[in-house]
Amino acid sequence: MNKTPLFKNLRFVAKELENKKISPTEITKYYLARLNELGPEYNSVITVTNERALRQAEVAEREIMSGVYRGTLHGIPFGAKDLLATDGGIPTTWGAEPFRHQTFPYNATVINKLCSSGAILVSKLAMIELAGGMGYRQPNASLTGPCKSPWDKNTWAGGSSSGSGSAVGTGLVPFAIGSETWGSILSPANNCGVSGLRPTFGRVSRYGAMALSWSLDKIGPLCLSADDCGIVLNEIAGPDPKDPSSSDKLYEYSVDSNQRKFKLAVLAGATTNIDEEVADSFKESLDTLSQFCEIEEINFPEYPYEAVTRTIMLAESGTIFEEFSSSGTAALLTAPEDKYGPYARTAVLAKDYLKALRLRDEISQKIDPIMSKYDAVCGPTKGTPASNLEDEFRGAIRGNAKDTLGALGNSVGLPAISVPNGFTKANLPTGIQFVGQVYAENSILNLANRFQQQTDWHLRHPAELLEEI
Amino acid sequence: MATGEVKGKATMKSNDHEREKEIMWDLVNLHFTNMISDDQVEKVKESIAGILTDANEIRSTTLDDSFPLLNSYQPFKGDANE
Repeated sequence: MNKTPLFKNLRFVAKELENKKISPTEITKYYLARLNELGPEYNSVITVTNERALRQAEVAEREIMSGVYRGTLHGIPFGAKDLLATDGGIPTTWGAEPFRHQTFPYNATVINKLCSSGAILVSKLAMIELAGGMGYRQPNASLTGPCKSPWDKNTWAGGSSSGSGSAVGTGLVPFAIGSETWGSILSPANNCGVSGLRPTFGRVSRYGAMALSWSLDKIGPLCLSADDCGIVLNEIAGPDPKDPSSSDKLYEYSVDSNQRKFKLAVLAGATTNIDEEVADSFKESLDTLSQFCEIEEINFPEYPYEAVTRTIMLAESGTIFEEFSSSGTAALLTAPEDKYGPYARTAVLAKDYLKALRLRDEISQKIDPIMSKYDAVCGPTKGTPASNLEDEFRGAIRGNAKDTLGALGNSVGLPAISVPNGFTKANLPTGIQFVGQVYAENSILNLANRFQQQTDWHLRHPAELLEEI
Repeated sequence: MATGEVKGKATMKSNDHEREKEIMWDLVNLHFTNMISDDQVEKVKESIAGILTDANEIRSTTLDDSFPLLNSYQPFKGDANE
C-alpha cells in the first residue's frame, strides 16, 4: 500500500479504492491489524470479525477490479456498535455479560444496507451495557471494561456508543455506527473528538437493533467529519418494511454548493453551569460561526423536557426488559447501579407515561415552527470534557447542568450533529452540537461542514496514534 | 364525567410525596423482593424518588387544550382474513 488510509476522509479513501491505488483487501487487513493491536488497549472492541471481513474484502476487490464500483463506501471497512444483530455466528452482546454469547440468525437492516453498498464489517464495537438504559453512573459499565478516549487513556470515551467513538478517534475504523436514545452518539463524539450524527427519529431503520426505548431509539454514524457522516447516512437512511417506525421519506445527502449565510440560534443559558473551558470553546466557536451565520439567542417554551424524556425512557425500557428484570439477571451486569437499576421503574405509572407522551406531542407541534426559522439551534455538546475512568457522574451528557437540547431533541426526534470545537488545557476535546428541524439533516450537515472548513479541530489526532503499527 | 371539564389538565392533587414514595417502594419490593439486596434498598428508594420528582413535574404541567388527545391506535389495516 503506497499511502496509508489512516485518518483520511471517506471521499479520499474512496477515490484511492476506485482508482485501484489501494485494494479492499489491503485496507481491510490494515484496519484488522489496528483493531487487534489497539482495540484491547482502549477497551473499544468486542469482536473483530476477521474472517467475515476478509471474505467481504475479496468480493469487493473482485468487483472493483472488474469495473463494478458500487459507490463511495465500496471496499471501506466499518465498525458497528454491538447492539446491531449480525449473522454468521458473530456474537451480539449488547455490551452486557448476560448476553456475552448471544447470536442472531440475521443482520440488522443497517448492517445489510452498508454491506450492500460494499462496505466491510470489521468489528463489533464496545458499548455501555444495555445501551446505558439501566442507569449507569460510571465508565466501567460494560463487559469489556471502561472504554477509553483516544486523547487520554485515563479518561472515558463517553457512552453508550463508547467503542464507536473511540475506534474512529483511534483510527481503528474509518467510520462506525452507533445509536442514541439520549446522548449516546453525541457524548462519545464529544469525548473522542470525532463527528457524530443523530438522525431524525425514523430516518434509519432499527430492525435488528437492541430496543431500549421504542419511541426514542435512533441509529447514526460516528465519523471523522460531518461530510463523512452525510456520506454514511446516505447509505443507511430510508424506509424499511421490517421497521414500522421507519419513515417513508427518502433521503439524499447533498452538499451546498453556494456559500449561503446560515441562520443559527443559540439557546439562552447554553453555558450556564458548565465547565469554564467548555464554555470558552463554545464562545470561540460562535465567533467563527458569526462569519457565515446570522445568530440569534432564543428561548424554548417552558416544559419539563428532561422529566418527559426520562419518564418515556424508563417506562418503555421497563417494559422491554421486564423478563430480564424478573429473572434476576441484572445481578450479572458490571456497574453496581445497573444491578438494581431496572427495578425502580416499576414505579412509573401508566398515566404519567401517557401524559408524558401527550406532552411530547404538544412540544413537537410547538417546537417545529421555532425550528423551521433556523438551520440549527446550537449549544455545547456536553457540559464537561471527558471524565476520568474512575469518576462517577450524575448524567452522562451534561454532568450537573440541564440538558434541555438533548432532552428536547431526543424526545421529539430532532436530528443533531456534534463536531469537535476545541481542546482543554489537558488536551481533551470539546464539542459543539447543531440541532435541526425534523428531517433537516442536510441543513445541520452543511452547517457543520462549513464550520469544519473554517476550523481544524477535526483534523487533529493524538500523536502516538499516527505511528503505523 | 362532567362535560367540558379538566380535559387534559394537571392532575393528582395529593401532595403527600413521602407517602407516595413508601407506596411505590412497597410495589417495587413486592415485585422484586428476592432480587433487591439489603445494600441496594436505599439506592432503589432514591431511584423511586427521582421517578416521582419527574412524575410530579409532568402532573403539574398543564396541557394545551388546543392540541388533540393522544390517540395513535389504528385498527389493523393489513390484508383481511378470508
